[in-house]
Order: sequence, then structure tokens, then C-alpha cells
Amino acid sequence: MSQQQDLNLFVDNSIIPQKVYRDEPLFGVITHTQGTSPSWLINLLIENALYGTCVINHEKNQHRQLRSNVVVISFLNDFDFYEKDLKRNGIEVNDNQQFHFIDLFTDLFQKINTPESIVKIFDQLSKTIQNIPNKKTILIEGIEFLLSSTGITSIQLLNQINKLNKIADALFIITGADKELIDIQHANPSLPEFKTLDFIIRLLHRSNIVLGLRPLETGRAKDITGTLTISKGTIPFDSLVVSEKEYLFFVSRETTKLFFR
Amino acid sequence: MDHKRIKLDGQSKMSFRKRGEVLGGPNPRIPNAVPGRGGAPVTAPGIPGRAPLGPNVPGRVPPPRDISGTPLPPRGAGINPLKRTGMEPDLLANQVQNLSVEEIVKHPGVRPSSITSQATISTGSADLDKILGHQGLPVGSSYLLEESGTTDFSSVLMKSFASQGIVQNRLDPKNPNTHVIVLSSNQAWGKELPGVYKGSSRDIKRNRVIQNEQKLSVQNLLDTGDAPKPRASSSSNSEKKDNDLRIAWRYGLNDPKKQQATPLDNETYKDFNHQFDITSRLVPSPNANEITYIPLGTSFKPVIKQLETTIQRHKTKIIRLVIPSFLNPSMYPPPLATSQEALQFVHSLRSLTRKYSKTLAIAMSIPLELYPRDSLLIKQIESLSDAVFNLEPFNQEMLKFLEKAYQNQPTKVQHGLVHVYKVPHLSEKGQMLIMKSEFAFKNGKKKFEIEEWGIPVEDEGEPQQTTQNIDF
Repeated sequence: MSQQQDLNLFVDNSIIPQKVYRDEPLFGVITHTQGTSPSWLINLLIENALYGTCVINHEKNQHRQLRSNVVVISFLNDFDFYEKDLKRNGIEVNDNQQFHFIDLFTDLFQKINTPESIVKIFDQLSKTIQNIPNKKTILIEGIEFLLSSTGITSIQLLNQINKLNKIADALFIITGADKELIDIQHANPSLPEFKTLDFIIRLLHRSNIVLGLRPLETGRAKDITGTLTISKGTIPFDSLVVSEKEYLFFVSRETTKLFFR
Repeated sequence: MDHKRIKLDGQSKMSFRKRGEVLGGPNPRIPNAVPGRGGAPVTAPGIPGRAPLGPNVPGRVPPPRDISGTPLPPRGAGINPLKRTGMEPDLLANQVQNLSVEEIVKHPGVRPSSITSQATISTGSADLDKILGHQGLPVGSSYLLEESGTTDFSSVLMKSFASQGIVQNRLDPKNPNTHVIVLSSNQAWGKELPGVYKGSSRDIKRNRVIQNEQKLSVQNLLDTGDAPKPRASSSSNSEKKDNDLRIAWRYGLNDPKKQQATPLDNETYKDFNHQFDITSRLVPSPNANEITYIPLGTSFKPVIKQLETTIQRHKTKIIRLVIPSFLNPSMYPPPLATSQEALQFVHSLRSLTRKYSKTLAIAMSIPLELYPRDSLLIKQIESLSDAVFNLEPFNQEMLKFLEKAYQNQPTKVQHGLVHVYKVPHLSEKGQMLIMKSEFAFKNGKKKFEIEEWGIPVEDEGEPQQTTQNIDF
């Protein structure tokens, strides 16, 4: 097996470059499929956004300095899901004033039902997040689920994301992209498959960096979990350059390792 | 999976080990199992100590537990659920909140996961527990069982899941510890739950003989006290029988231990799981204190509310929620089967498992013939479930092939493949655990077995003698 590699997304060897928090906002999309759950990557992004470090990289012991607020919005998991893993990565989220978790998972459908109620929730959200001082990184997990479980259309949902994009310095949308979710047999705009496909395509056209997590095509392997593909989005950065490449990655209970392909 | 492989290896070597045990070591079970033993050592002195157990089945007597030091008394008053509902809910909630952690640790059907040390419960099938990775289903999670084709193997597992809960609930009649909720309008569902496997018919006969001998009856007293002659003859008989059986012993054929192959790996969690016999019924069938049916209407909203109130009512117990044949049109009216309704419901279920992560576990089966796996609906339900398994029964040709290949060992014929798509906790943390066609299942009278799958080699010239059980 080749040598273990550092995670970096840009040619300057950074994950989220400092420049993002100055004048070049980032819109990232992370797609994943069954078998390659993205929680490890989300945790690394949270850490990097908070401190600019990354536990699986070689210079992990470098001095940590808070640099941005992180808001995690999840439609699929509660706070407990993240807490333990972040703690293992050395982040005490309970004491951390810069970490905010917005739980849109617990009893979600007692709060929302109609597209209007979703719009209302996002209005509230953007107001709350706007009140957070300084730089902001927002990660949204599982938002595509709303397309198949409510009457909201893909355009309406993208408009909600826009509200958050305006107030965030870095925004990551984490979405499932299994082929079953986007495989349309009939071009019927009310089908959830159609909506999800439309949503993802439009999302990719707004992004400036895309990360894809996929299992190996050859099936399960003992020492490799899958591939992480990093590519440019459709909208280019002004000066930042995405380092396009493909990693092999391996997630086990104790460690996460990356290798070049 | 590694431990699975080790187990199989162990089995293949078993005959050697068994031989050593019978010849050399004093194995307490084997002499007991010979019915005609009649020897003085066990019967006569054994009577006084064992007599009080009377009609109970020996294996099922709950261990005497010292509960004097624990805060049981307040709960003792709450045994009757009717009384409970009458209490102030908040006050009750506070009371039980403090108890619940301790209570769950003490629960005989709970053991820590071998991976994450979360509390886990048995699914009612020891083999399924194994491929779940944690030695069971972690409390606070759900498992989805998909079934392709028109067979109904999944109902065996759904019913075992419920039965397991009821059996554990009855371990200590004063201290109910488990509640089963069934999402079904069919109130008779619980009447068809399988009973605990009591051994092969031969074992049952043996046990009956042993029990009769233990009973304090005139006949027995006569036997032990005044009639030495018949006893002597019977003991010599048994010795002779032992000798006759020696060859069979050698091949481990008549070894009751091997036949049972009980999965109860250690004594610490001896009530963690049981083996269920699908030809028997759980007697008496579960009553309203043990099982709650939640009927289906035209919306899932009231169902979720009812679920939550039922869970709150049984806060000190492990809750096993069973959802048999989810979205099956014979039970679910059309409005429930739309992707919006169904997904909102499954999402709410997931939310409930996280909210009641110390008590609730869910088993759900879904027929794939009606809702194919390559549809968005199933994919989303899978992504909301913690564990996903797929049963794919073999077609006729495959079954014929297997029957031919296992001509002499009809019990070895598997019924289908088991695909694993998600394993609780590990999959969500990013591990890739999709295992297609790695396991096969077979449904038998005494258990639902899942083993590693391999295509059998057709061996025409195999001698016939080895596998058949020869009666002397």
C-alpha cells in the first residue's frame, strides 16, 4: 500500500483556505452513496473550519487558533451523533462557543409539513445565523430528504440554500447521490426522483468545489473503504485553485487514512 | 466476517473434540441424558433440593436475584399499567428517569455491544445477532429487513423479535422488563408468536422422564427405597446401551450437545437470547400488558403520537417495536404508501429511536416485490434505518441444485441469500460494510440460521453412511 497522505483540497495544501474567510466565499457540495457515509469528512471539515487544522494530517499538532464559527444543520442526525467523534478529534463542542448545532432532525415533521413551513424555518435560521458574529462556515446534511418527504420543489429548496449562502463565508451541502435517488424513468416533475436529480444538478452548477465519496466499484475490500474525488465546481474561484485528484480512503473505528490513487 | 469464519472452523473440528470429552472428561450433561440410567447418584439425593421447583421447566427458572438493595419498591406499585397511567405523568417521568439506567443494566436481555459497548438486545435469531456485528441490535436503533420475491421468511424473524421480548418479560413475573409494540391492525398477530425451542423430540421425551423421576411420587419412593433389583437391572441395561452407543458417540451423532449447538455463549448473558421453534406457539399468548397493537388509519400522524405515548408509558422497559410488512397494501391503505407519507413516518421513527435511545429498538420488514430496491422510496428508507438486510430466496432451479448437492444432508439446504447493506453505528460512521451474497439463510423448525454462503461441490461418489442418524 502506498504511503499515507494528507487531506488537502486546494493547491496551496489547505482544506479550507484562509482566503475564503477574507474575500472568496466557498460553495462546496459533498455527494455520497450507500456504504460511504460522509460523517468522518464532515468532522474533518468542522475541525478545519474551526481551527485550520486536521487530525489526520501530518502537521496535526500545530497550534490551534479559532478562525471561524461553524454551524452544522442536520436533517438526519442529532447532536449526539457528532459529539463523540468530534471529541475524539480533540474538539470539545460543549465548551466551544464557536460551534453551533441546529437540530432539524428530532421531531422534524412535527415542526414542518408544507413548503411554506420550510420557508419559514429557513427564514428563522438565516436570521439566527446572521446574528452570530465574525466568520461563518455552514454545513448542511441531508437537506435533499425534504424533496422526497414534502411537497417542496427543487427550486424552492435551492432558494432556501441561497439565503444561507448569502450569510456564510463557506457553505457545504452534504447530499446523498445514490443512483436510485436520481434515476428517472419518466420526466415527471412531481416525482421525487426527478426533483432530487434536478436539485443535485443545479447544486453542482452553483458550486465551486465538489467532493464525491464512493465505494470501490469492485465491491468491499478489507483495507479500502472507497474513493474521495475532488473536482472543481462549475463556478470558478477568483484566485484559489482546487487541487483536482482522487484519494483512496480507509475508515476504521480508530483511524481514517488517505492514499493517492 | 471473521468471527463467523472461526465459528465454522470450530464446528468442523467438533467431532474430534467431542470424542475426547466423552471418553476422558466428566461431562455432566451426557450421563444425565441417558434415559435408562437409573443409577442412585442422581435420583435419590437429588429429590429434596429440586422438588420445590416442581412444574417449572428447569432451564427457565430465573436466577434468584437480590433486589433488596435497589430502589425497587416504588416501581413495585407501578406494575399495573392501569395504575401508572393514572399517575401524574411528569412526576412519574422523573421517578423513572432515575431508575432507567440502572434498570437497563440489570435487564437480563441486554448486553453491551462487543464493538461500541452500547446496550444491545437480541433479535431473536442468534445468527442475525452475529451479522449485526454488535452481538445484537443496539438499543436506540432500527433494523430493516427487505425480502425479495413472494415468500414470507421475514415474518419468522419479525415474530422471533417479538417473542424474544415476551420471553424475557416473563423471566421475572414481578418485574416486567420488556414491552412489545406491533404496528398492525391485526390483533391476532401476537397469537402466532413462536415458543421457545425445547430441544428435539427425543430431548423432550428425555426431559419428561427426568422430570418424572424428580417428582416426589409414591412410585419414585418405592423405586429408590424398596426395589433395588429392578434398578440394578436397569443400570446394567444402561451400561450396555452405553457400550452399544459408543460407536455412535464416537462420531458425535447422538451427542445432544452437538444437536442443540446452543448459541448461548456464556453464562453471564444466559437470558440474552433464546432459540425459537416456529412449529410451536408461545403459551400463554401475550396479553395487553405485554403487547400493544397500534392500528393503521389513513394517516401516520396519530400513529406516531400513539407510539410515543406508549413508549412513555413503559419508560422503564425495553421497547421492541415491530413493523411487519411495512407498506403492504393488504394492511396499509393507499394514502400511506406515498413517498411523502411513508418517508415522513420513517423519519419520525428514526427520530424516536434517538429520543428514546436507552429503551427503543425497531424491527421493520418490507416486501421488495411491491417496492423495488432500485426505487427512491426504498433507498431513502434504507438511509434512515440503522441496519439493512435483504433476504433473497433461491429460485426453484437453485433449490433443486442444492437438494441434489446435499442429497445426504437435507438439513444443509439453504433457502436463500442474505445481503447486508448497513450495520448499526459502523455504517453511519463511514465504514463500507455492504456484503452482497456473503451469507445464506435457512429456515428450520428450531431456528433461523444464517451462515457463510458457498456453492456446494457436487460429489456424486460420496458414501452414504456418515450423515444418517442410526437408531439402535
